[in-house]
Amino acid sequence: MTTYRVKLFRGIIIQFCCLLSVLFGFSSITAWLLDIPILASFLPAKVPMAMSTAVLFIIYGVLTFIQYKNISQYKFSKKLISINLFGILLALVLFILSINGIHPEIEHLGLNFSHSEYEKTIGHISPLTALCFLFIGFSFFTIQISKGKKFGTLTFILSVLIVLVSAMLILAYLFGIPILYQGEFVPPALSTSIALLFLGIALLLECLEIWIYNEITDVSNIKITFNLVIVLIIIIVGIVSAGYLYYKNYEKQYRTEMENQLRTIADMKAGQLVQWRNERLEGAASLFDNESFTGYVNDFLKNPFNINAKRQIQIWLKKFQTVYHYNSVILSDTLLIKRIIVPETEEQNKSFISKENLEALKSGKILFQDFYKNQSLQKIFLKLLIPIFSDKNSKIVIGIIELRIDPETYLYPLISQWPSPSRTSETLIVRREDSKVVFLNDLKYRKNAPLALKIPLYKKQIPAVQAVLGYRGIVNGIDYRSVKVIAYVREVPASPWFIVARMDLSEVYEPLQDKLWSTIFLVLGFILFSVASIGLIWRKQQMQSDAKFRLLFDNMEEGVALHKLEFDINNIPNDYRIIEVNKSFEQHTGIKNETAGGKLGTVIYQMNPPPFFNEYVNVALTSMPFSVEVYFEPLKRYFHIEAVSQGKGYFATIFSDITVRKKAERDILMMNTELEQRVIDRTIQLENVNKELESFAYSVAHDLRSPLRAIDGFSKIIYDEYFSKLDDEGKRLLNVIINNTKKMDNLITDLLALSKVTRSDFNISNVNMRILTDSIYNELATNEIKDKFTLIIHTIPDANCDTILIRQLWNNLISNAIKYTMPKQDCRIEIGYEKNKTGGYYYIKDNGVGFNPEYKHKLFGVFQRLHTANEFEGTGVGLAIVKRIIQRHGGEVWAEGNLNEGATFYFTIPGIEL
Amino acid sequence: MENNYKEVEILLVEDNPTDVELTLRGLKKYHLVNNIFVVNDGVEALDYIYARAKFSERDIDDFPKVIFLDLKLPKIDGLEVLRIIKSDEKTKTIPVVILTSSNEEKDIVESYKLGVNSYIVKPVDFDKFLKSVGELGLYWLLLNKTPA
Repeated sequence: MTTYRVKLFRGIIIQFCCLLSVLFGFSSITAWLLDIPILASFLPAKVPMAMSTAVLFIIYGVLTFIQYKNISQYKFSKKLISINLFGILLALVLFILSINGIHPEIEHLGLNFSHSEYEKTIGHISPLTALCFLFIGFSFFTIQISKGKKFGTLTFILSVLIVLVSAMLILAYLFGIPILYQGEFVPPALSTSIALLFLGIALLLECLEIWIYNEITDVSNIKITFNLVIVLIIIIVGIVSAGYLYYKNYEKQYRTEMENQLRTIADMKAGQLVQWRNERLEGAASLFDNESFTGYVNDFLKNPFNINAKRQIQIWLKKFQTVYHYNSVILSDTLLIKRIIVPETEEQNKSFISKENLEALKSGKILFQDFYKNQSLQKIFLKLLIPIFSDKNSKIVIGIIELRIDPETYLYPLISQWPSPSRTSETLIVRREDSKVVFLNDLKYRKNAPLALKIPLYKKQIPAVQAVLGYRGIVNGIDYRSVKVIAYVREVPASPWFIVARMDLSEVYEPLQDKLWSTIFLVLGFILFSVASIGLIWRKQQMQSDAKFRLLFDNMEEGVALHKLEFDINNIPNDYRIIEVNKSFEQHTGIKNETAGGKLGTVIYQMNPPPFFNEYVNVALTSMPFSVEVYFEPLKRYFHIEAVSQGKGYFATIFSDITVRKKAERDILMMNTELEQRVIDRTIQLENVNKELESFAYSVAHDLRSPLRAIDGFSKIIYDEYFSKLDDEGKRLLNVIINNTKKMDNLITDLLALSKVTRSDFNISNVNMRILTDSIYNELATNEIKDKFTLIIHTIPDANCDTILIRQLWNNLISNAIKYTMPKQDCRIEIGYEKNKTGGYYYIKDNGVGFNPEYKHKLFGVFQRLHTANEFEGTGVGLAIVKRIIQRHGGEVWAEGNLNEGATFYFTIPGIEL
Repeated sequence: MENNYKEVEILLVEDNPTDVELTLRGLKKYHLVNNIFVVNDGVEALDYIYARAKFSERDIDDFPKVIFLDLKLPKIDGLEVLRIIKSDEKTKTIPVVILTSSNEEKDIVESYKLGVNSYIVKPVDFDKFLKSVGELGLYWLLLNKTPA
């Protein structure tokens, strides 16, 4: 009963798990069809389950479900096997493709999520998932072809692996998903991991179903099992939470550290940049304020042939160029014609200065022109523009000094410099241009990025965008490569620049990843340990109860053998295997456990099919118990064999030696037979005696009558022929002889009639008692009697009886009634029937002389008379005959009466139908 | 009388001499006594009928008109004699009257099965006995016609 409950419980879990994984699959397909990613990923911003994964979940969820339904019969149709083979093939192909980084578009089946371009692996199966499905398919295959036991271990290991992998993945998701930060590896989705866990659990339970299902397990301690499971769940939750908290805390510390590092770097860089700018501006200002330099410029521009002025300017500018690492320093006149270029190079002789800048210069300002591209040189520069006035007070611009800065020389190295060794980290300088962010410096992962790479501002997940939007702080986002990064963004004061110090999340988590995996493995290890411990406790509990049964099994007087059915390739049972036998079995049969254990019935019993094969198959498959008693010729002993089911495909036989009982039974049987024989013998003897009696009666009838007839005949001859010679006394004596002869003849006749009652044939038929009594009365009664008597016959029922005997009975009773009523006046005879509790009785009542009730007991005796021969003639046999007839019918007869008050005779005949 | 078998009309098969005497008296009273031949057991009866042994000179075709047969006979009993007579084509037309003290039903039934023509229980009362025997003799000898 409880075993059944556990089985049922297990079944419910298996089916529930199967259904869930199928549901996950359908949910994901729906997600793909309707473009609702949340249905495939469960949590926003998580990877959705791939279409191919969903299809595999549906296939294997359904397969597991169907397999569970058929597991007990080990019947797996070819259809199921071919579906599984298809699944294995699909998983294999996907695995090979995926592991090689090939993600064919066909996996989407023409459907696509509107996902961002950085998630390039979305919708493709993870190689890990494909591998898990390969495991599942393979374990199915082993179950299907092996019918359970042999490959059960392999299946078990595979399903445990699947459960562990999926549990690990779920833990990884729970703890944060660093494995997802690597761009190349496709991670299994969270939904995939959960569905995989369900499928793995279903598969594991199915293994247990095959494994444990048929073992003798007492599950009376189901409550203990339940409690242990609860404890286990609490422990697992505890371990997972502890691991989670520990890891998260560690991660938080680590991140804070990393964030601080990023901030420090960004702040430092910003400071350096500010300083760099200030230095440039200060330098420019010194040139602007230098009156002697301004004088040389005035001289040179007024007189281009003033060689001295030109030389002085060139010295100044050269000094400037080298001190501040300018790419070049150019002096242009008001027409923007380049007059002096230091160092001297051939280039376009006209400067490009916008009108606004020109106006600004005229008002006497030094301008810092941000990154721009020099079209003629095809290079990116920054430049400082310094107006040169004719006179300190006149404010008339006569020339412009252009300080061209090549960022490659100092600025870019300054920016890209990172204080600590790092693989992915870099600093970016960006500025805003309308609704775009423009990258200004060289990038690690993108060539020719400065001024060329522009990202619209709506892409808020990009830290540079956040930066130009004025945010200052840590940004978790995606950089220009679509790679997850962590960044610190801030502005660079007194400049159009914003700085982004960023690092790939994968690098941030790299040291953390080791920590994470060690945490996950530790957690899994703890879980396994607690599962094992709880399992051990449970096992011990089981063992205790098992031990009880083992003790019973070993010590019970009945021989017990445990069997398992064997099936042929068509799943038709063709033999049974003896698993184990107990000591009593060994003693009873002489077959040792060592020799019989694990052997086939056909081998051990040297019979094909083995003994009671069909009956046992029936027991093992239908659970209907079977028992039989057999005589075992080789042992010369009787056995009672009882076969009981131990679950589908298994049965136990219980032998008890019933030889003693059988012997006793046989003795009783023999005694009975003997007794019967004795009865038969006695009956024959009695029959012989009866026959002798019959022949005696025959002799009486025949032999006694002849002399009697002779006596009577010759007396009468004497009477006739010698009448005259006899005196009166002689005549009287002769009459005495004749009368006595007559009496003796009556006696003989009555005696014969009496013996005839018991000897005659007995034929039951329906007799109409009313007609019978009426006719008998009419036969017996003379006219004289009829005049004198009143006969009343009431309504009396028919009787099932022997007609001849019943006729004799009524004859005797009615003639008696007539005889003993004759002396009375107003004679009455009444015949009737009375009902009572037990049925009813016939009666005949007269108002004759009656009898003395004291002698009632003598009425029915042979030769017993209550009247003298002088009063009433009779032999005293009539009522004895009546009694015998009633006895022969199985009824009763009795009489009531008083002297001179009439007599009533009653009798019953069984089986009267009213 | 012994040799004059031709005139024998009644064959009386009876072992008890007193019964023979009483029977003869009864028949005598009806004037049938001259044509009676008495044998005392079953063997003698069969010998007479089939003209064997001491009756070998008898003409076999000259059968008695009626046989009065007792059942209880020495050597071969009356029922056996009856069976033999009634199973023989030649003799089965001879009327046989069982004259016996037995009123056993099985005897009666058996006799009729074998083809007896009459079954008379000898009354103990002598007067009745005389009457029975005499009337039977008359019936079978005078009134009953048998095929020639």
